[in-house]
Amino acid sequence: MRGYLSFLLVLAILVGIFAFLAPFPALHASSDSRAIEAERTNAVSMNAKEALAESTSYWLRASATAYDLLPEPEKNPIERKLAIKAGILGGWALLAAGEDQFGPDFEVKFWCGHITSRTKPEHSKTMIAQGNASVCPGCYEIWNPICTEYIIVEQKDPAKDLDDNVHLTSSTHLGAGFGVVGASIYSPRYKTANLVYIPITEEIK
Amino acid sequence: MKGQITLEELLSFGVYLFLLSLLIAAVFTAKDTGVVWSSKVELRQEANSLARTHDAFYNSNLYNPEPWEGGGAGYVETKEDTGVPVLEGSVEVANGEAI
Repeated sequence: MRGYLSFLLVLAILVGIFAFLAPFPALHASSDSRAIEAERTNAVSMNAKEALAESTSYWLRASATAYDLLPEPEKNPIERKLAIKAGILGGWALLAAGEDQFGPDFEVKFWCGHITSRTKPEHSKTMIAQGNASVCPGCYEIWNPICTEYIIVEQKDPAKDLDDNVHLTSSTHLGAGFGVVGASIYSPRYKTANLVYIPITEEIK
Repeated sequence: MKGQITLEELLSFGVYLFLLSLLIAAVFTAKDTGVVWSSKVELRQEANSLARTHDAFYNSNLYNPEPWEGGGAGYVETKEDTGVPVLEGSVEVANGEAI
């Protein structure tokens, strides 16, 4: 009789505990997945921006160094500037060829063009509506030779202790817009979009 | 005596029925308590998840396709009546209102 009672008691406690815990799997229904998707979109955006800055920096130094190897009589500052711009544009073309390397969840498009402060949210909204990454309205794909207009080169000057550097912006102004070089990011899986660009005051060496 | 129920057996059966009813009552009470508790915990977790989602979009300067304004993902639907304290009384979520 005593063993029977103990059995009932233990069974009652166990069944009670399981009955109490039964509704809890519903907790898994809500999660932080949307936040993680937004954070991942931001991470890829920053990667795209970094890739753009690194490519610009590398091809600036590579093309300047290559030009400096020419025999002295053939050198002149205007040609050197053109060589640097052509080198950077070539690097950007390689970057554009690798746009699919940001993973299967993200589409990235590099571009140059004039934008306004409203372009970022507006074009992000458009990309989500259209379902693909696209260059902003009035902008050009980054391999387009017109993008050399957006490379402002300042050449080295040993007298002023100045190294070669570039600013990615445009000296021409179109209305309220400002010229930048950047990237559009869209995720077909997460339905998130972003637009990033190198700040116009950023000095790339 | 064969065929007769002894007092002891009757008592034993009574105790058995009593314990069985106690067990069933305890199970249903525990289940109800669990449902109420889990709905509160779930609501709090949902509010936390929404707050983190909002922060993730806002801090990354990303366009949020489901903002709190306009009935997007940023709404906490209360499971019970309005005014259920969600975060230990510090934040209250009314039906359909943004946290």
